[in-house]
Amino acid sequence: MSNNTLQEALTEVRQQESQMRRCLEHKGKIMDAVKHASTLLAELRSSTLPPKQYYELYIVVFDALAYLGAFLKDSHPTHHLADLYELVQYAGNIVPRLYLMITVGTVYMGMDDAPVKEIMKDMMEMCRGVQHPVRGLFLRYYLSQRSRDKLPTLPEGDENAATKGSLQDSIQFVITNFIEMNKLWVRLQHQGHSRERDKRTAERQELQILVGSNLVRLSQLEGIDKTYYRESILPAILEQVVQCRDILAQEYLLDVITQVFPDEFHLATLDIFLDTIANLNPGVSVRRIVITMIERLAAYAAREAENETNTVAKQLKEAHLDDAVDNDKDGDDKGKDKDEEVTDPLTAPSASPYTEEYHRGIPASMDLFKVFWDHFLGLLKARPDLPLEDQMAILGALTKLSMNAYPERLEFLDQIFSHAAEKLKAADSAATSSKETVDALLAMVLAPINFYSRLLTVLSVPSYLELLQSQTAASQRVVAIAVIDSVLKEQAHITDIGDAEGVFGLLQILIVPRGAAAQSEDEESEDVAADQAKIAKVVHLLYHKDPDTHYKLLVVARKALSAGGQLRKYTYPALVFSTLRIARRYKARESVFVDWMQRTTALFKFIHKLISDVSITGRAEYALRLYVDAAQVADQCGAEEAAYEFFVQAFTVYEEAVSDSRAQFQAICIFVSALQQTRNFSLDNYKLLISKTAVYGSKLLKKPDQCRAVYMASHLWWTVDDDDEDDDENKETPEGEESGTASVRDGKRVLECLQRALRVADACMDVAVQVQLFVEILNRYIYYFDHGNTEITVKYINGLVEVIQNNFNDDGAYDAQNIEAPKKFFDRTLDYIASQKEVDERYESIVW
Amino acid sequence: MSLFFKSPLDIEIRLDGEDSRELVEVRGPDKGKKVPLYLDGESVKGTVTIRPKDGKRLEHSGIKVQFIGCIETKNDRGAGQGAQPGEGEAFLSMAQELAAPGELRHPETFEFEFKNVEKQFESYNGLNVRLRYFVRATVVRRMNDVTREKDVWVYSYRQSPDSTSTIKMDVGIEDCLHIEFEYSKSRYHLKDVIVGRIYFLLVRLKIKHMELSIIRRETVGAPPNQVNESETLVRFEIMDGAPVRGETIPIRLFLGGFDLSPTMRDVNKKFSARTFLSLVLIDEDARRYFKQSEIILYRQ
Repeated sequence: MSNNTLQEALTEVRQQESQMRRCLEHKGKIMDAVKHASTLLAELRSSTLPPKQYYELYIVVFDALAYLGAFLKDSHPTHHLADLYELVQYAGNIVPRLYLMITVGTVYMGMDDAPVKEIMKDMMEMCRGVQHPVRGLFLRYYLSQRSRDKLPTLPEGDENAATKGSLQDSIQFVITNFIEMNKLWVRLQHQGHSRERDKRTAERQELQILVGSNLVRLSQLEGIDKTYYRESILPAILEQVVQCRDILAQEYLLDVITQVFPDEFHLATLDIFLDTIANLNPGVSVRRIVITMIERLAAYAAREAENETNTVAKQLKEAHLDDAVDNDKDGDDKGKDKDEEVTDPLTAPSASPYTEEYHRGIPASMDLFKVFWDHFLGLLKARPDLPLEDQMAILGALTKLSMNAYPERLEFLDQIFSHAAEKLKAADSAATSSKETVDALLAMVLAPINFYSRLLTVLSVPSYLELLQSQTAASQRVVAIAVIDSVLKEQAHITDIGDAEGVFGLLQILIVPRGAAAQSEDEESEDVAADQAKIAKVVHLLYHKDPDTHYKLLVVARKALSAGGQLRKYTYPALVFSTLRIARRYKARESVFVDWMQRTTALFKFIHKLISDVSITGRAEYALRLYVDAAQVADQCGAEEAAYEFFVQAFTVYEEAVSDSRAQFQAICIFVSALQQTRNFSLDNYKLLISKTAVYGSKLLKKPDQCRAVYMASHLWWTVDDDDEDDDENKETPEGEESGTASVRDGKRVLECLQRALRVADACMDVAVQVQLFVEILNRYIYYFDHGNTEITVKYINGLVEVIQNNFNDDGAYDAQNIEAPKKFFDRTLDYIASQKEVDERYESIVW
Repeated sequence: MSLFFKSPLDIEIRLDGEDSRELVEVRGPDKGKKVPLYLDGESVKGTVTIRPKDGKRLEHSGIKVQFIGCIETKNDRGAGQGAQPGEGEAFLSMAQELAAPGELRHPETFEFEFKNVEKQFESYNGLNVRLRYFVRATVVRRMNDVTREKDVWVYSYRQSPDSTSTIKMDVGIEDCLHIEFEYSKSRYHLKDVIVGRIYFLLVRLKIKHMELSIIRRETVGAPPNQVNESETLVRFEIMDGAPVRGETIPIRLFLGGFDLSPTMRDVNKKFSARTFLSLVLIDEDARRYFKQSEIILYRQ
């Protein structure tokens, strides 16, 4: 319904506007135009429109009046504005009358000969006639909008100030308007039915911008200096804010004050501002106001800090004029805002404060943190019932301030954290576990981690850990993840043992999950795995040039991670590999470390312990692999004992814990490949190990597995030196020439193995698998044939080829599909043989 | 009667400098009519031209011109058909003989002058009464006289009164409303501006708006046959919405744009026309609360 009302009103306004324009354009009939203007203004007398729609109407009216105003300006002094100013006052209704008065009056203000001061005073006074909150607010908003660029800015002493008005008059003008608007705005809350209270609050929120615009305007006035602001402007505003005793108004206005005025002003008036807070309505959420201010100054300090480092010229530092945050609520004058907010240091007549030392934009003589801190304590005293979450939120903001303004004063942070921890202890659990409190605390503990690029700075704050550990598991987790992310992002090596301890201290919650996370451990959600992976990454960041220290770092890590229980399986491998790396480094610097052997032994013991822990967590296969890896490194380092022991451990694990046939097969593959690569075993040890492996292979459950294991094991008796493999295929290293395993070449055993594999394959029932195995074995034969194993003769190869061919020809026994792959494989093998015939005469005798 | 007997002649009255003289627009029934303005003590001078119609010879028993100031009331106007209006109530009547009885053949123009006529009262055109000045030319004939009247308007300027006391009042309804109001002066000249303020001490009414009205109260006759009638000349909204305790609302009302008349008291013991300022508060239920206070208007 009200929408209709609005439409009707808009139509009427537009009609009258076009008539008004016609009067002005064609005939210059100003009086008639004014009458039309008055008629259209009568629409603004509406009481039925809600604020939003009233605003829409206002906008249209505003445009119409702007047109009128421009015309009046041009026709002055033919139609003298002073006369018009009187003339429009005959309008019988007050709302149109005042709009017209303001329209004429503000145009008049722009004229050279106008008694500006008087007009301002008169308009301001007459506006009192509109006591209806909404209409009054809009009227005064109109006054403020129209007079904005006409307000005088002459200094007080100027000879013209008496008629043209001074800057002080302008300030007074804006402040008075602000006070009156605020009164109207507050009054709106108390009118009408009490059951519509909420609706009215909502309406007031829609209107708040009108009130706030005055403060914006004030901040845009050029030439206001700190002293004047402190002595006259702010007290007047704050007095009104306190007096109105309205929650919404107090919260909103203090927020606006914080936003619109420059930072230096805030610094200069912080005491007044904070004192005011103590006098607010008890229902006001002090927290938001304090936090806004703290954060504003914190941001300021941060920006200043950036400037200080960026700017070489000291001049700039002194001017400390920063791009003010763009707070304009109107939107229509955003561009202007920046220029206007900047106070020109030349016109500021205050006793030059620019000689003062500044640190991050804050005068050195002022202990900003202490000011806030004392205020905070005072606040707690004045309002013992301040909710915990608010306290914590304020503390969080203080944290930010302390970091931005005094990054090197860690004692401030300590002060905050210990206070918070104390409060938490004292508070009951309902308060501490409320979501808001938790969030606030989380933000507080997270902040320093994100702020200090050197994360470990946080560790030097004694009470930080204490506070952190009093948090909920979830919060701690978030912090820990932040820590990890920050560490990982930096990618800086952690070289100090203390640091390492600290980091793992912070990560405690991830290492040893508590609460909800602990219960879901069985499920081993992806999250857990991801977190643990990150921890593992951190382990890799532990590094020190000196291997000994590096080792110590790892010991620290193990100590921390050992608490992880089942989760060790994620983190220990990283430790193992890191340790292995050290082992290699020792080896690489044999000459430097005379006793490297002993050290390495110690390392391997350490590793041994680690891996056995992993195996305890139930990840046997994993442990097995680690053992094998460790064994390989040990072998490369020439630590035969250790290598042997590791293999033995691996075998033990295999025997005890690997039961799945597939896993067993995999394990054997690993054994074979690892053993085949070892070089430094004594022959006895080597043989022991390889025969054991072969035995494992032959004991596998499934025939194909068995077959494959056996033919792979054959390699163990035929070590191939990587180096000379390619350059001379026929070169045979005489057996026993070297003491190591490099020389093991036992063609007979190889053949035995292959034969045995063939037998096993033969026993396979599934023809497709069987033939596949045959082809595979054929390939082994050719391999050894290639590598000059004299035991492998053409006879065997020819025999096998024949067998395979027979198998393929025995059609009907199986369907063609299954053997397609083996068939192709076989064909390729034959192709290979054919191609080899051209370079190697031995192949000539292979026929099929 | 003139319907039956067509007047055999035309009379035209012309006043000297009529074109250049300031004209006053007369309100009331003759709206839009503009008449020349004269001041107290000013001579009224002009010519009367008599034209016999159709070139006929015209006999008359004398021609005279009169300057009359009279107060007409509605009752009078209704009474006595045929009676010369205004005659009875004339407070001023001057006459000049222009021609002795004789004959007129051709149009003839006669000059007349009433020297330094004292015009004691200001012209007034109210609801039930009017005070008018006019020049009347009469051609006396045996059967019926032929007359012609011409109105003039008179402003009477008075010395501005010495005392300029303010009007201050403190009114209210118990436990409902308590206001103080103040008008800067109790006497205003007609181009003056009323300045004042209203101070709200207690507001329990749901006030919607507040007006200031200018009311003219006309009193005609003497008791017991006195007739009172009021007319609101101006309605001027001075406040929109409900104020709270402690608010001060300014008043400023320019009088110059309105058609007001100076305060007249017991003019010739016939009538009074007084002006009141009425402060009216209208509440949400459209109830009106008002307080009237008389102001003296004068011409300066």
